[in-house]
Amino acid sequence: MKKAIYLMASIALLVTACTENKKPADLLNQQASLPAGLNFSKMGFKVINSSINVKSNTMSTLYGNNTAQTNARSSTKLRPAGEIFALVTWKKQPDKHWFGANIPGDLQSLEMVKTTTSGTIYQLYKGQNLTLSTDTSLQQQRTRYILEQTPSIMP
Amino acid sequence: MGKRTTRSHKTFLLIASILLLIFICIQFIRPEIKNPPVTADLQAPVPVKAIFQRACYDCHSNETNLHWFDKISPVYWRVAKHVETGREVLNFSSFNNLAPADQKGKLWEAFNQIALGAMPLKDYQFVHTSAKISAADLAILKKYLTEMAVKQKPEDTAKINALNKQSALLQSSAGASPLPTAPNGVTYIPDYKNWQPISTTERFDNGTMRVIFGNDIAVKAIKENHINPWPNGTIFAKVAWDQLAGKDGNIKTGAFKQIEYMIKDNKKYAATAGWGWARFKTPKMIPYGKNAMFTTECVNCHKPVANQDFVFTPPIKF
Ligand code: HEC
Ligand code: HEC
Repeated sequence: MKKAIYLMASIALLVTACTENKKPADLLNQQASLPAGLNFSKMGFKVINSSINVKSNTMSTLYGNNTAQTNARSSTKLRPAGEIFALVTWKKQPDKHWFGANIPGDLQSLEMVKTTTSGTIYQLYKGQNLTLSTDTSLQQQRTRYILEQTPSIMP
Repeated sequence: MGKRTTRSHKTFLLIASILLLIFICIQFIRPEIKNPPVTADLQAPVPVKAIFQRACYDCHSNETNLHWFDKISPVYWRVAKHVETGREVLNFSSFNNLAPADQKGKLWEAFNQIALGAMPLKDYQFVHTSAKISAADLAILKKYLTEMAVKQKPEDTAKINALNKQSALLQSSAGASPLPTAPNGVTYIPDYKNWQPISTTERFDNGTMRVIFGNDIAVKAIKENHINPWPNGTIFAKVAWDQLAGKDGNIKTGAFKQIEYMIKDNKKYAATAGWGWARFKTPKMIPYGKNAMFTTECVNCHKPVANQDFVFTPPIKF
């Protein structure tokens, strides 16, 4: 009897193994995604580094345009005009598929720093829709923080 | 009328006895399951070990203890195969021979295989009801792992030195020596750093952090929601670094540990779940794996997400 059950179970398992795959929409990390209108991926940014803020429970990725990336990687700390940095920050969330991992959750902010001949420009966009924030209180501190970042080793 | 019944009755008896004969004969076709000596058994607190012994040891140790109903062919053949491959990929009887970091890695993997419902194998669990892992069991395992998770020491000098050494080395050697190739023929792709990151991971199980890059085809597939299955030509590159905690406890990337690739081609890589797998370790890009069979490890651990084309990461739209 048990033998029959084992066999039947094996067959049932084969059948369930062939059941439909998950739908792509459920597989995207929607809450962490950037607003569609922004076209961030077309801005020509490359990754500079990745970091985790323990206190605020967030994780961030720093991007730069070509100039920014080259300068961040070279040992001479030049700061010419035309650098653009973009720091994207998410709340962390546990990875549903792997206990032991955290991945980006709700999109929290995008900070942009541009170097120009007349100084640096800092902009802060906040929330799921990345609305421009008028809060400038941390402007200097954040600009310094972003410009001081060292690149991750990517051989 | 009566004649016909007896005839069909006879045919039935004949068929039944032939089947019985076959059944008896196949009982003599027996792949042997030996129980070799236990050399380096898993070392873990009693409640933790008890769970593995009860639910996993039949297939993942040298202490296989089969029930009578497991021993009837053809069921027995399937069981024997499971024990053979089970022991090959994970054997608790020689577990203590693994390097400490590898032991930890396997335990996290074991937990996640259970949590995702991949282990113990479903059909086995169906008949061996005692092998079922309860919520309480899971909680015990989770607590054990959480205590084992790598704690980050702020400003760890060993880690800072490792990072500085790598930086210096990379500054001095911008040479383009021939690109390394993994045992399955997959070659290291240096262009990954110009791709889009599709997600990042903080791994507190092993104290690393990762960025997962996708090539143009991957990014386009994400834009168009064609990600299950992923189109041929998709490539993921996952880079792992040490976590490096600063004075304030915040974490940056430290020394580069490894890069892993998954290259989608459902024909070329049909034997390995449709993906070409490769791992290169340290900035020297040392290919991982003694031979092409190293991919078994990759596929097995990614198997619980087979219903999303073996990809763990839920991609972020940029
Ligand atoms: C009926 C036999 C059987 C039982 C019971 C079983 N496994 Fe497995 N396990 C296998 C087989 C066979 C594989 C090889 C991959 C596959 O077929 O999925 C495997 C693979 C694995 C792997 C992947 C190893 C690697 O690196 O390739 C892990 C981890 C694992 N099992 C953990 C467990 C744990 C934990 C339990 C108990 C909760 C368990 N298994 C119970 C048969 C079994
Ligand atoms: C112990 C389990 C395990 C093994 C073994 C393993 N992986 Fe993974 N892999 C994961 C997990 C978990 C993730 C997602 C979390 C993360 O980013 O670390 C992942 C993610 C990846 C990704 C990013 C795409 C995705 O699926 O999310 C690549 C590429 C990858 N693995 C390659 C490999 C290669 C190549 C091997 C074999 C040399 C391998 N993996 C072996 C667990 C494993």
